[in-house]
Amino acid sequence: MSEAASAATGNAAGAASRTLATDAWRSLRRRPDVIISAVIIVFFVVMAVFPTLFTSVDPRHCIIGDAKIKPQGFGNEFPLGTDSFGCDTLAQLAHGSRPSLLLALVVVGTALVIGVTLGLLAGYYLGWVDFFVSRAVEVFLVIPYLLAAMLLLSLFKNVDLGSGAFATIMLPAIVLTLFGWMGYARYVRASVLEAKNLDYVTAARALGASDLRIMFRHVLPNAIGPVTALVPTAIAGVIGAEAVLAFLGIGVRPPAISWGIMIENGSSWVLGGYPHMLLVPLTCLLATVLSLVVLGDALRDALDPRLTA
Amino acid sequence: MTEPVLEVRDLVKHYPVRNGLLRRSVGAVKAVDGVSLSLGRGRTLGLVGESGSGKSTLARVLVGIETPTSGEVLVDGEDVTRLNRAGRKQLRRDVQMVFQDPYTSLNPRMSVSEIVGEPFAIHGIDPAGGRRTAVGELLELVGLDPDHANRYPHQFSGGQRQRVGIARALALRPKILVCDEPVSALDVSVQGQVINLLEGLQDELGLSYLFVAHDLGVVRHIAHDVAVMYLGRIVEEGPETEVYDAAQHPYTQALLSAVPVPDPSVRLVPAGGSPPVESGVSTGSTNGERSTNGVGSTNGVGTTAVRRLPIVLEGDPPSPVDPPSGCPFHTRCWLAPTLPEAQPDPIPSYPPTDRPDAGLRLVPSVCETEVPALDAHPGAGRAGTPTDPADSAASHVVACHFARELIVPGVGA
Repeated sequence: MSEAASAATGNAAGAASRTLATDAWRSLRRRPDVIISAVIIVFFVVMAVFPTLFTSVDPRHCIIGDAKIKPQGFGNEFPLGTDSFGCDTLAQLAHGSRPSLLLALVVVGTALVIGVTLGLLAGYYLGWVDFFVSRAVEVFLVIPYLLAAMLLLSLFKNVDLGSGAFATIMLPAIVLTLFGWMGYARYVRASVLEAKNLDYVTAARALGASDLRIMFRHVLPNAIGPVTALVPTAIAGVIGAEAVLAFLGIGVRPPAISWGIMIENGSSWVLGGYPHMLLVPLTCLLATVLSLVVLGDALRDALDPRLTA
Repeated sequence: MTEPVLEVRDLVKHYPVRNGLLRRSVGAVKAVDGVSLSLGRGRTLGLVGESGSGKSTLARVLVGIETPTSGEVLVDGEDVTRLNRAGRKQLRRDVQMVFQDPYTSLNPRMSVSEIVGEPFAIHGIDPAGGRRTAVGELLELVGLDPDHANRYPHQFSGGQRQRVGIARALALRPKILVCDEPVSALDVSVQGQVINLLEGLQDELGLSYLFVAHDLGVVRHIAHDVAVMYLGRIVEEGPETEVYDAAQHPYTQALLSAVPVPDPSVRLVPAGGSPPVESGVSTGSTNGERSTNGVGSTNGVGTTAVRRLPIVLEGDPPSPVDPPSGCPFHTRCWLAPTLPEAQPDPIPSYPPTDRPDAGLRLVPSVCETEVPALDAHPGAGRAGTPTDPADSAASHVVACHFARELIVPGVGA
């Protein structure tokens, strides 16, 4: 008993009061990569919430005569240059962060809830529940999503969604969520199948635990692992996919700007001598995604009791 | 005889085998096929048998994880298979389970206090002094330090984890503990500690154990009564001393002969030196006559100096989907072919060598046609130590047409 004790806790006095959450917080605080990632994420979140802190220029104030100006450095009129329409890149970047990040958050969050719920139910109950969920997954995987996106576009063409921050991303959010949940459902279903036959689940059942309790206390915490690895890359995927949808007119509604649209526009000017139009939004996207990857990994490790000791 | 706290009557658990497009039921895995047993208050019933004999299924039915296909399970005289949902929840407080593998039976993401306290949360019980105190007391009861309640399972050794599992099972103050191979995953040194803990808890709390195991030595140590299962049925049942010292079913005799003997010199004791089993000879003689299989090589040794050879059962257990007719053991029985009743048809219609099963075994026809009942065979002769009737919950019963204690041919001569 004592060998486990000494290995687990150097300070025996505090052993009883330490919980997993405080342990996790302690270990996360000491990792420089986690701190850097957290700072980056906070930076972009602040930018999304208060874009005017970073620029006083209206992103829609575009003078074609100022088109394609290279970055001039901070303190000048166009710190990050202008795009092919003469719009200020910094202003677009700052104002474009809100729809982009909001879209990514909404889509991944909703898809995660749908996918995890369906995967959990399918893997746990099997039978006809599994039959319907699995067939639904296959159907949605087979339908070409651009085709479906165009269909939705025509359906919602004349619907006025208003002009709030949420309304501008409504259409791409619906389309991307509709075609984004299948991966989570499959992963969760597979790991639920594995986890639900373990003895501790049987033990809980023998104790008389309800299905809900078994699913959420025993099965899901041990089955969610593979999914957490998907989330950061899914966020990047959503921001990129939104740019494609913008082409079809069902992306973020103009005049709103997004990083996806900036990347899409900028990519055609890389070889024309103006790589900054692509590199500026792309760098921000990469920084966000990489920070999320690092944070996600660190958080998963810190919250797994087997890895903290 | 004490009043039984748990009684099982004709319990059957079949798992349907489905096939084809319409998922039609094309058969059933007869995991438990008509088992009756009773467990006295404060006593331990050992349940032994090889893999696939239905021991674990029986255990799972008893704790309510599986619903039986038919039959009755009576806890304190109440049939739990007919209870409604609320009644079953109450049953779960009376019958709890200890699992085989301490590494998978504890949720790795829950601390020990959460694991041991979960029964309280599930049943909405607030024990006197609060759940925290109750968890601490349970940990102390199983010999763990209550200060370790905030640790996680991976910080414990296998034996300690098994203690946590026992503490969880005891939280609801059950009357019966079903132990499904509770020590087979542990080191031998730790096995003893856990067994002693279980015995101590039985004395302290008046628990009754159904102890499922394939380790006959462990069962002999802890059990008062022993039941032997083969292919979903009980083939022999009785007080521990009688089953071990005077086994009457050929399957039990084979199992006992396979128990490893730590001392190599014991393996060569002369006949009659150790009472339980002498064999290899009886099987050998028949095999030698037929000389169709390679087992004959061991027989040469066996005939001259009687060795304490294990009885080797040939082949695999038959499929529980399609168990043999009559006695389920007749396909592997070492005794049946040696009996005088095992004669070929009195009027052979064609030369015996042309028969398709010429090299195969012949068993008495009654073994093939009639399912033997679980009966007492008093005429077979009890062991030298007659058991005190007050001490035995069950009388010694055997399901075999030719049940008898092991007789070694040639010993008497």
